[in-house]
Amino acid sequence: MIRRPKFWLGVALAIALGVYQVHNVLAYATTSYPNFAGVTTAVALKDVWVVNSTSWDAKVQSYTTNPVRNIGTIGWTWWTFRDTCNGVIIDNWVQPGSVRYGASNHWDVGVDDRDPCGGSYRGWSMGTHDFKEGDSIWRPYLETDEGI
Amino acid sequence: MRKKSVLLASVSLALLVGLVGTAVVWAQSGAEENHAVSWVRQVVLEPIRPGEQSSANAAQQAAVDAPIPVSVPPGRSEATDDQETIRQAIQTLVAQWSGTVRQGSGWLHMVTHHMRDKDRVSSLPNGQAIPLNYISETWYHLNDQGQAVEVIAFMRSEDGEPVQISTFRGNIWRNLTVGEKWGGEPFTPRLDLGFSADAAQAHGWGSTLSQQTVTLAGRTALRFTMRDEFGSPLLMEGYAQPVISAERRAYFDARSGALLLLERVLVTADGKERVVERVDPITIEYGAEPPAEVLAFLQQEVTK
Repeated sequence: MIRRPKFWLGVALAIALGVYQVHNVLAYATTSYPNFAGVTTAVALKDVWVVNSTSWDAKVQSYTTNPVRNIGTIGWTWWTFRDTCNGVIIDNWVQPGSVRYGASNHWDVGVDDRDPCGGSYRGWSMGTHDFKEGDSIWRPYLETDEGI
Repeated sequence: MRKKSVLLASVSLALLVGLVGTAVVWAQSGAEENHAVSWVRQVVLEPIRPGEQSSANAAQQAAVDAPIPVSVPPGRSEATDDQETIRQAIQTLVAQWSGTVRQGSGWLHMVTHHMRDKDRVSSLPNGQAIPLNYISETWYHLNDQGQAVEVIAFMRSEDGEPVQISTFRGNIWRNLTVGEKWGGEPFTPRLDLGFSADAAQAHGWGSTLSQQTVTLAGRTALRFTMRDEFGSPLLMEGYAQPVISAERRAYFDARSGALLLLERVLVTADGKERVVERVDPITIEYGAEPPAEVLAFLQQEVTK
């Protein structure tokens, strides 16, 4: 049995650091389509985070991985980010669809201001992704929300 | 010698687990080809207009292994003593005031008047415009721990007409106006509309706190300011001009600690200061029961 305080301090630090990192991972929402069109893994991602007391960010991203591969169409058909205070929508920013052709990655980040709220204040990123390659089409709806 | 070994082992273990955590982050975000980087990359992006890609963004997308902003908060050094003193003053003031308002379980009723100044308004999914100026009326049903277990919230126009109604019951939020629902958890309402919670995070965000004694409508008030400076002009949705700095100001009654006014100010790239939101507390009362017609909304269901 190790009785050294510094050792256990190190262990505690390590666990805290690991949990902190994994916590950040959980802020993502992702869904993937392995072997999309038989050539790649298509990944849809949404994310929300607070920048500072003034603003928060919402992100949408479509990309390919394992292996990275340029595909016919990649992007999203629609994307919206909003903030809610106690279930009431304060801002609801609807963005047009956006795609790239012959690319492996497409993303965008929206910036919204933070409103004073006395209760549950949340930021949302929501919308339908768009992947096309040959005859293969994948259009998953994905959303995520975080306390902001 | 043995002490050094133990210390070395513990530090090594910390680094190892930290690296594993970081590796998980990278793996989860498609790290082989899409290298995740800190939020710092985000703030150096050029201003992005709605529906547009900035040149930095477009150039970034051209590269397969482009850095991608992720939700990793910035690391900061120790807070200075004066910042910590101000932060504690805010916490103490708000805690003192909240303690006098809330007393055990029951209903908390809050009404606030929001006056916003934006260049563009957004709309609800049903197409109705969300007003810039509105009245927020919220009924919180608190349990013994002071947590809201039921909520009825209204956004009203300034002439009192309901724009949106939402409820929280059985850990489900329901926006009755747009017909959407999602999961939630009991929470502690913040009488100061989240200012002290933000102040607690100011150091981590790189925000600067300051304090002044002022006179507001004939009352002595403590004005606390939280200031953000942006490394490069930032274009926020709904505003035509990029922003270079911003302030959030809260005015509290110097004696009771009650919130008197909240202001949000943006400084645009041309140097102009713009008050983009004022929030006036109208009613903050504890112990009053919601009218029957308000309570009835709790029973309404949505389909989505």
